[in-house]
Amino acid sequence: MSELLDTALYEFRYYLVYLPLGILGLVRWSCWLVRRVPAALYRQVKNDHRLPLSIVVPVYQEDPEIFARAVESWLANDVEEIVLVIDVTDTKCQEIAARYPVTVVVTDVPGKRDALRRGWEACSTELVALVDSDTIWADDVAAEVSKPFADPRVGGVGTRQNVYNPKGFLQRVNDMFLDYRYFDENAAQTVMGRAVSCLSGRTAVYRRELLLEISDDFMQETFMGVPCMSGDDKRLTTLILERGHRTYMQRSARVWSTFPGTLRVFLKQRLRWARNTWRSDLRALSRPWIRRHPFLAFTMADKGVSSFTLLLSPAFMTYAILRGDWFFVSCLAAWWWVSRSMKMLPHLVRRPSSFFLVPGFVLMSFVMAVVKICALLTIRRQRWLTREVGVVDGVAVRTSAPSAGPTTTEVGA
Amino acid sequence: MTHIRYMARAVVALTAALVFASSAAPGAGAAGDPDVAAWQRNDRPDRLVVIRPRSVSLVERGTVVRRLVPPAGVVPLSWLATSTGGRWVAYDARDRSTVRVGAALLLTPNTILRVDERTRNVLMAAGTTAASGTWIRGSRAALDIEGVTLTSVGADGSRPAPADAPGRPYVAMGAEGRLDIRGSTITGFGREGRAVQSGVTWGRMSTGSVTFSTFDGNRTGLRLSGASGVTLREVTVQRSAGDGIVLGEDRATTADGLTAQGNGGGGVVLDGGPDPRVLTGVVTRNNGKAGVRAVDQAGLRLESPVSHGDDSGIELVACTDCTVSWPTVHGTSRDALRVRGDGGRVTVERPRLNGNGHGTGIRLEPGTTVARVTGGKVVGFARGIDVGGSHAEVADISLADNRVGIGVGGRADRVSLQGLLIRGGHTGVTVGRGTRHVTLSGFGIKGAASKGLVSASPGLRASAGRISGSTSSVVLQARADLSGLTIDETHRAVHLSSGVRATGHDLDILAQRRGIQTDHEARMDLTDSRVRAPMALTGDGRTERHGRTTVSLPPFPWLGVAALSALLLAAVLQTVHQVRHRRTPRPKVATHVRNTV
Repeated sequence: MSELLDTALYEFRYYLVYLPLGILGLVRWSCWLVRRVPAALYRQVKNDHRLPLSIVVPVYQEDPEIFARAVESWLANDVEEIVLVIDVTDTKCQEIAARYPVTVVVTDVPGKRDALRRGWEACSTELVALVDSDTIWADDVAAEVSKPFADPRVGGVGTRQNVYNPKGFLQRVNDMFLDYRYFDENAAQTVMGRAVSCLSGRTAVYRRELLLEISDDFMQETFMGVPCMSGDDKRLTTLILERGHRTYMQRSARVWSTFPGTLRVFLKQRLRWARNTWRSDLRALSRPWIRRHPFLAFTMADKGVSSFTLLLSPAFMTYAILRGDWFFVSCLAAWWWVSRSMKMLPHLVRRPSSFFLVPGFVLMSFVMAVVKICALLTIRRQRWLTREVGVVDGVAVRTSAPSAGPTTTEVGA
Repeated sequence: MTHIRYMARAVVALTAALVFASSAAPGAGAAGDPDVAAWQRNDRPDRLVVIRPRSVSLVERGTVVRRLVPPAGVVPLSWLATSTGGRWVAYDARDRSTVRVGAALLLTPNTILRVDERTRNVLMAAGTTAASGTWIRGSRAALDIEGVTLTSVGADGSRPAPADAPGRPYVAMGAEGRLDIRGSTITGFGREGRAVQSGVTWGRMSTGSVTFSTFDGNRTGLRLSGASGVTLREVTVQRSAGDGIVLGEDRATTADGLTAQGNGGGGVVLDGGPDPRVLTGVVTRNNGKAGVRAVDQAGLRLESPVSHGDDSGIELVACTDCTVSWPTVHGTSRDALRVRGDGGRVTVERPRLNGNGHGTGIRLEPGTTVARVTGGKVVGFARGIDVGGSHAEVADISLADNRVGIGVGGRADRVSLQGLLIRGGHTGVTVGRGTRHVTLSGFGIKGAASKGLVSASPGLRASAGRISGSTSSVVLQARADLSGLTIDETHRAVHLSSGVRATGHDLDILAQRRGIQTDHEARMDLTDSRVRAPMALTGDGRTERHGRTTVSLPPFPWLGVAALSALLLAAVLQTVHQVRHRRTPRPKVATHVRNTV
């Protein structure tokens, strides 16, 4: 028996050698654990605190059916007011809005930022939820997002988001990315200092007085001399944190949003987000206020570094394939699958079938790393990419407008 | 009266004799005609043009039908074309640059036939029989071909004539003759059948040259058979039915820039010859046999030969004092470089051999002695180097991705393997049971999937080497001495079969499972060595430790443990999360939202 045990132990040690975790991999795993440990200890706020809440929704080129369902979900939350800031060209959504008890503000100024500002200026409640027009709320979102505001230091609250009825590989992968974010990064940032790096623009709730205070800074954001058009949610979160307030992710407040199903749109969206993240994080890391939030700084730096280190893994794989070292290829592929599955456990527990999507998810992660590097190299470029607006010579324009007379209004005007 | 009668009888007899003699004279005169005699000596062709210094005779089926007076000195083919007539040598009716040759041309001593740009295309008839075919032959004469395309034409007008046509033309220069070919192409020459003839042949004691010329689709492309002082430069021989270039029993041949491709036999064949020779710039491609085959050579120096896609690369048979330097062989399915037969002192310098998983890179067969292989690279063969001869030395060579890196077998004796670097493959080095005095030093074996070194050779000495990445690094089936070896990344470092005795000195072993395994009645004597393995010394045999020998466990696989710990921690943290949120209810939301778990 003892010999059998010894042999088993030796066998075990023998096979441990084949776990392809290098020093860098160990560092990456350590960084993940630094996030994951507090994330596992996260709890949403539970109390009876409730404040009056308005919803502000910029609307432009939205799918009418999704938009109608979203409006109905907001109305089901019994909020005080819903302000829809609809682009003048979007008559379809104006018609849909007319069917519901909501306030409609029609704007001829292109760009989301101006629409958001018009919205919160038109509101009168203490809390304002900035919501995307394709985002569907659970029935208790208004109640749940109010709870963290019991702490007067909290300036903004985010929600947990998922893909609305995901179909196909890309939407499923997006759902995995979202779970990873809300069960890992955002949860950890909430626990460690109540400083979430980005309250996603699909639904983020702020104190209205703070929005009015930061309004000018928000509208006049530039990066390396170029006015910023996208990245409004990152900017708002940063401005709130910069002024010493807290941001909180209330995971019990759940919303669902649509995501692209085609690779082209998916990559464009990711490229836009990556540029926003680089701009915001690089600027934040260079400012004094970030010293108040060391964990936030750590996660920002970690995210930046991971874009590069992540690509070492496929580089090793390619080298092994070229050498024909199929044993190592098998070990590494198995390690990718197992280790990434362990990191994705919160999602896999929810949707076990996603286990078979993990290899695809890993490959998409590598693609995302490349996209992030491309975004860093084109960090000054300002285009929405998935919508027909852009910044040309410092002004926001409708890129689809006919050449005879485009509406060109300066950002912030 | 009687006298008168005798006198009359004598006169009658004399007269009768004279009459008989005068009637028989024409026949006797033909048999004595040198042109007819030449016709008889030269296989009796249907039509023969006999070129002499002061006459040209046209002999048809043994009868001289015409005699011509040639120009003094050189006889151009164009002169024959204008002088001999349609069935012999004539210009094509439609193309004045084309000459049709319908007769065999015999150059007698002291004649010169010149085939030049005045007759740019020469079509030589291949008759339906050997006698009706054409050829150009001579001895103590000269044939000068420059800027010409010579092509055989079949009886049905096909160009070139079929390979099995019995009367295909050929060119042969005999004793003390001279044949020069410059900037020309010779297509479809040489005969099969009873009297085999190469396309172009330099016979015994003939000389000449070939420069910038092509031999296409001949039987044997060109052959030197006892020729002397022939210069071959920038010669291409292709698509021959047999061998491409044959240099046989020749002497003082200068060869540079030979290309043999797509020949049915060997590319370049060197057969005998009394003198040392140097061949440079030989390129062979896709030949049916060896790219270069050298038989019974002494002092041969083959510089930078290139063989691509030949059935086998370079073959040396019974060669002595021969050197092959910088040979390049690609894509052969047999042996890239083979040395066999009785011979000695063969040197192979810096070979670059690439196989396709079959055959042997370098094969030194039993019977060869004092062979030396140095430098270079051998990649992708079933066996990189196979040593079967004695007094062989293999040094400073890199072998990669061969199934077996080096095999020493047969009765090989006194084999020295030095400075080898073997990568990949199944087995690094195998040494057979019948071998003696094999030494292996300063070597590296990396990533041989199965075994690094396998020896059944009594008294093998392996020193100053490194073996890593093999399942079993050293397998000893006979007595051996190991010294200064580093063995790591291995499943089992050293394995001694039953009854084997071995010594190890200054060994550094780091194994993943077994360090030294000794089977029943085997014994290993370790001196000043270090063995690190989970099971350092195992087996039914004995391992004796001497000097500063240490045995210990290998370094702990911390990274593996860390990886496993990380995975376990991830599971634990998820469990913590699950427990803390076990009472979280599902969200209330409209029924069209399905992703709510």
